[in-house]
Amino acid sequence: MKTSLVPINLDTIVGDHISTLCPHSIASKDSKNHCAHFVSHVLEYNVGSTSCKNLTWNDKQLDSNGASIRVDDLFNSSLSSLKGDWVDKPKSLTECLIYVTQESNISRNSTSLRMGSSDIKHVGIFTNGRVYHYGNTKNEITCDLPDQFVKKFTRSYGRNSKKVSFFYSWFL
Amino acid sequence: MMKKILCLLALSYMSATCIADADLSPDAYDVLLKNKDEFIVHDGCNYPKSGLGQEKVKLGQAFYNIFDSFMTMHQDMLILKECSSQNEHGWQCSITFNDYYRETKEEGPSPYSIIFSVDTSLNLDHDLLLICM
Repeated sequence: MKTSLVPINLDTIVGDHISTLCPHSIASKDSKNHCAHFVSHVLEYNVGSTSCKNLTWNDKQLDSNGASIRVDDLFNSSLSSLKGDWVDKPKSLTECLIYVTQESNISRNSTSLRMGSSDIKHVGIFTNGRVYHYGNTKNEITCDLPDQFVKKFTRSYGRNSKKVSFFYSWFL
Repeated sequence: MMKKILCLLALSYMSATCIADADLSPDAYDVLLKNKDEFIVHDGCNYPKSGLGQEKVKLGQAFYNIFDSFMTMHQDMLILKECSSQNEHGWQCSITFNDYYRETKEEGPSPYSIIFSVDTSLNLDHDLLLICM
């Protein structure tokens, strides 16, 4: 039996608020974007220059671990050889991160793939054949089948005929 | 231009509402205006088309560049602002932009915030960066 690299049974936290995972002040703010924040607490990522722990003086004093809060920090921390377009994801890769953004927010060349800092970006965890991610509209952890996820964000991000792109990366 | 004016009016209206509610927290937009000429080190604020590089910029310049980017790239938009107390360390304030879908009357899935901190006198706290997320 294959062991999951995800340390939490995500099915048990679907519907939960981000504050069940994060002790810092940003967790109480529903107006903020918590998708990368959710992924980073579950998988214990603290990459990039900013985390949920260093946003305020009070949070810095807590004896707790910070987690990354930006999608592009996660994407750009992944080695280029370990990420690519979602349609090219190896079938054998049954657990990974899934990202979505507009193609205009991606820089591609032969050796690298980088995501910019546009607001139009989202990330989730692909495992158990489903995508677990944080819904910033309903402010809760949610779960979609991959096809539903692609359809949902193609609709949200593809307004005005914008090209929407989906990516995978191995866990960091 | 009309859309920009409407958004600025919305910001002014929200300020007035905060005062009318006798909310003791400062208004984030007022705090931003008070500190608009302060240089600040920013993190993650190089929003596409905003013209922001990695160097120090003035707080007002960072806000208006990002605001302009949103005005040109988005249709209907919500602008939310808040300041939360850090007790004797002042306030953390933020202004958040998000899409608004008229058909469903829902917020978009990807809010974008600029976050900054001030002391109890509402002067910029330079020990904490301007964070964009």
